[in-house]
Amino acid sequence: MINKLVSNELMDLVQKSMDASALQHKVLSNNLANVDTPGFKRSEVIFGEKLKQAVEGRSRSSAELDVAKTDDRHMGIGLERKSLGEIQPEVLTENNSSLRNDRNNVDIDVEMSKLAQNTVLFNTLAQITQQQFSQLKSAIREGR
Amino acid sequence: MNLFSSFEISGSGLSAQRLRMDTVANNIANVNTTRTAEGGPYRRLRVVFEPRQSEPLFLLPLEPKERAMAQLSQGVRVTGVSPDPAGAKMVYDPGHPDADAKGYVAMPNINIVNEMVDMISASRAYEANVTAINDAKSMALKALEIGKA
Repeated sequence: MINKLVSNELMDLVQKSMDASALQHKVLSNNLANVDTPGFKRSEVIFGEKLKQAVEGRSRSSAELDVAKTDDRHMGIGLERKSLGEIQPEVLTENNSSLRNDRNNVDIDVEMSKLAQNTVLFNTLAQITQQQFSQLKSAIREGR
Repeated sequence: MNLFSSFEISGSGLSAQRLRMDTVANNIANVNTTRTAEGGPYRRLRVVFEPRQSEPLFLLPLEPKERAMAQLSQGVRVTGVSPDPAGAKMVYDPGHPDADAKGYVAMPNINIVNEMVDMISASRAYEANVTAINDAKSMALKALEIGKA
């Protein structure tokens, strides 16, 4: 019972997103540290799109597109249904672009704006977690 | 934890840009130096950066995700400070003690405008890294606030 209170699906999702956001911050910091390194290629974390796909795939599964499977080896139609727990953040390196003559492709403006965006996202997620806990606390104290 | 390693990454960027700034300052200070221990005029120095890699050997047999993480570099490293191969500037100044028989003095291969641009670039990159550290700090503090409420 208490386990269900502390870790519901929303909390799991928020925690996962926070981990992905922290990883994204690390990757963006690395891009910024290497802004003058010849031949360096920037990386980025792919998580939001994967999450969106999974959520869409889940809501789609109740719609008419669902096809019955009579064997485990049958392929699904449309978006692959993945459980939210399976989604992992992925680090993608942009190998095939070049911004300057030294083959570096770090654009400092893009990195800074992504960094600011990511910080706001992380702070929002932390706020949500905090709210969840304070709601739980309020329920434990019977609203007092 | 990711947030703390991002401090380290940005820190490596800070020290690399600071070294670059020191090198530029040294170049500007020596813009008129005609005598060095190696003989000849001062030569412009420049820093060479490379991505700092974490140890991949330990993680290689592990699952693909771990391997991908290991391939991601962990900040920047200064490989060395190398002299600029460009030739010395010859300036006609017969009264100079280091002038050759024709009255020309070999001056350092430093263009002050280039050094200024380099300095601004280093300073901006330093600021970007400082912002990344401040953001990481605010994120870590925000995460710490979860326990409060």
